[in-house]
Amino acid sequence: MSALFGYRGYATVVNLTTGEYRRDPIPPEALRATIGGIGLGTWLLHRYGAPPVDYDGELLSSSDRVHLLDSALEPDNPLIFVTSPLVGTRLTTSSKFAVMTRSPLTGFIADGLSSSHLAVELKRAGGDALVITGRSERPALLHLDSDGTPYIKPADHLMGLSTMATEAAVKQELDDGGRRPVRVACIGPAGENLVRFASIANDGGRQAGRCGPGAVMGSKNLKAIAVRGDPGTDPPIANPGALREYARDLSRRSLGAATAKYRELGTIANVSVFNRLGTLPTRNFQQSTFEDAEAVSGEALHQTRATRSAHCANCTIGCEKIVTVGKKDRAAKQGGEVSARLEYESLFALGPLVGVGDPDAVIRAVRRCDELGLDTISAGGVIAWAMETAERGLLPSLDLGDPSRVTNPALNFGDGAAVIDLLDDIGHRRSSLGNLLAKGSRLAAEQVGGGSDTWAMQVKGLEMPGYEPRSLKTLALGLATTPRGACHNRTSAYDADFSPEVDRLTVDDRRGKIAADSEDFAAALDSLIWCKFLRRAFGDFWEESAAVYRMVTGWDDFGADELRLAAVHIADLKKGYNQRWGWQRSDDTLPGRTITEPLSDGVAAGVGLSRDELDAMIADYYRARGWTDNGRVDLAAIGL
Amino acid sequence: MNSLTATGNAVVVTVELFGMARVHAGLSSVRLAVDTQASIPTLLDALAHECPGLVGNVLCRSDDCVVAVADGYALNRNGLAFLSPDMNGPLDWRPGESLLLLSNQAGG
Repeated sequence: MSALFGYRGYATVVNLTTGEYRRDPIPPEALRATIGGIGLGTWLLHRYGAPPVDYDGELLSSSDRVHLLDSALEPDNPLIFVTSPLVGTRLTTSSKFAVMTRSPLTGFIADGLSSSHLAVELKRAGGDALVITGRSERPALLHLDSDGTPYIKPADHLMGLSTMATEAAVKQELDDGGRRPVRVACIGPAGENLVRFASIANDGGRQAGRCGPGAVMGSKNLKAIAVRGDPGTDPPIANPGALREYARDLSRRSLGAATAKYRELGTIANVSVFNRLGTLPTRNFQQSTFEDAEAVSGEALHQTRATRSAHCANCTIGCEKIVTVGKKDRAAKQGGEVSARLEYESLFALGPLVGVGDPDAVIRAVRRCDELGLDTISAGGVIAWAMETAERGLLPSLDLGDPSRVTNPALNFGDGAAVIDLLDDIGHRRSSLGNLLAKGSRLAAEQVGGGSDTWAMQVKGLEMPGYEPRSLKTLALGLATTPRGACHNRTSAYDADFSPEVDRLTVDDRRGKIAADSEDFAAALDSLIWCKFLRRAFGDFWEESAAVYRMVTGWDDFGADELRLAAVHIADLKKGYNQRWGWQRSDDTLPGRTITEPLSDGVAAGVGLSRDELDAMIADYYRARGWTDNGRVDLAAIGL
Repeated sequence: MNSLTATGNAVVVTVELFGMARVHAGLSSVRLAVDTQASIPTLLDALAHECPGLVGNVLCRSDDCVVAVADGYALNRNGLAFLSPDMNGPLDWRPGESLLLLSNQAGG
């Protein structure tokens, strides 16, 4: 076999039950067909995480579905960290890795991304992927040192620590005298307690957040992963000179107008715009505008709070805004106050979605999620569901086994202190209500009943992001159909809605194609792996990315068309994985509220989305994908 | 917000500023009296006079002095329709209408 460029050509597979490990080769044709990141990760999920029996096409009962959800926390569900051919190059935003598993929240594919120095070390020490199976008998720390050998070490002393404290303790424990830093991914109390939307933290609070990978890690009794690779093992680059030149040019472009919003105010700039456009989900999607939006807007925080920018590993953009509690002048004098990485989704979920308009309360809640290792979107979503359920009088009447331990019997929208209490209840599972909400809004609503599933704002079990689908019709389709559940990152369909290309308030027969194309675009970005915020800095994304891939891998006949085909196949593979785990046509839908209630306020007041409109768009989407009328993909036809 | 009264064929249009446009201008909105048939470049020219801090950052002036939004920005009418950046013809403005000036980068 000829030498591989850009790849290591293998995955390190660790079995925590037996303590054994091996290196499994990954065929070059699979690397080329799935690129890396989420694409390669999906292929690996098919390889290591196939169901014991194929549920494709079977009609499953609701108890079967719950069993499949629970089985995501069994030892045989793999937790896979995947790098990409661009990891380790000097390309801006390329130090990213994917975390793949089957979600205990959705029962389907969980494909997270995080930016971190860990990506570079993982590629050096673990290869193109690190596959973790089994379950350790005792709490464990998995340490991959520079020769790539995994060591399973006791981690009892780390249990109960926050994500930040865990990372610091592991770094101290494995310090090699300051020669080379060790990089850490870990879970907080939420992951230990199997909260179904627990995240995996790395690099001081960055999260692979959605779909509950932290719960899967917790189910393996794995508190942390520590990696220190050997730079001498970096795979060669086929054309380093050309890549260096391209990297310089891309870095220059990354500092231009195409990323201005992200560099200057960060994604929190969305709040005031979304509010004005009637697409800021508020009080559990009961409203699409928030009366306190200005107070928590990016512009206001920029003026009133101490804010500094931070960069992910190897990134020139610096979209992160670290915001400190307290008015700017007062915070500066006091020093040492609570601060948090604020981005739009966290701000929306723990602000308007739960009716909280006090910026300091939001900052504290986001910080608490990062410490506990909780996905901020799902945390806000499930608390918003609980608040509405309580306001409708359904929560207090619940027999949750031990009502005396319900710490927040009277929940109201806007109560920032209650939000933080509930986050602790959920993360530590320390009350009946915390236990209920730790399951996510779908299972919680099933348990509570009373029609509360109508306002459980989730798709496939994953809580909705901060985009109102009734006033963003193309994104509505994307949210309904992406294999991950309600996710705005695996589809960028909102780009069309926020442009003259479509009328975002109405439906037409172009949306299926637009949604499929945007999903393919995201699949390519997420597999190479580029940051989405770089997407407008490219001239022709497909041509440029294919050229970069050639520079890295040396596969000189790889062109834009092959990259597009790979993206299509990655979307097929993701869908196919869900099919094997029991996906049904009825899983592609939106929460009841969005298809039964028109918007009540804002510029889009009165606008709704009917079941027929949604179904028509979904049918167009299946056609655009070449799937059957029932949305099934023929996996055998892909040949992977 | 400044106080304006429209006369003759003029109409008052409110330009709402978002993101860095708001930070650069130091205002969240500006009321401009313009012709009912004012084009986007005409309206932006009036905005540039009212908020010179926007020129060079958010607004750019071409060699023939036509004002346009800079790369990275978008326009929306009344919070509903996004406008094509190359729209230059006359528009039919009515009292109470708004033009939103915002980033064209929607994600987050």
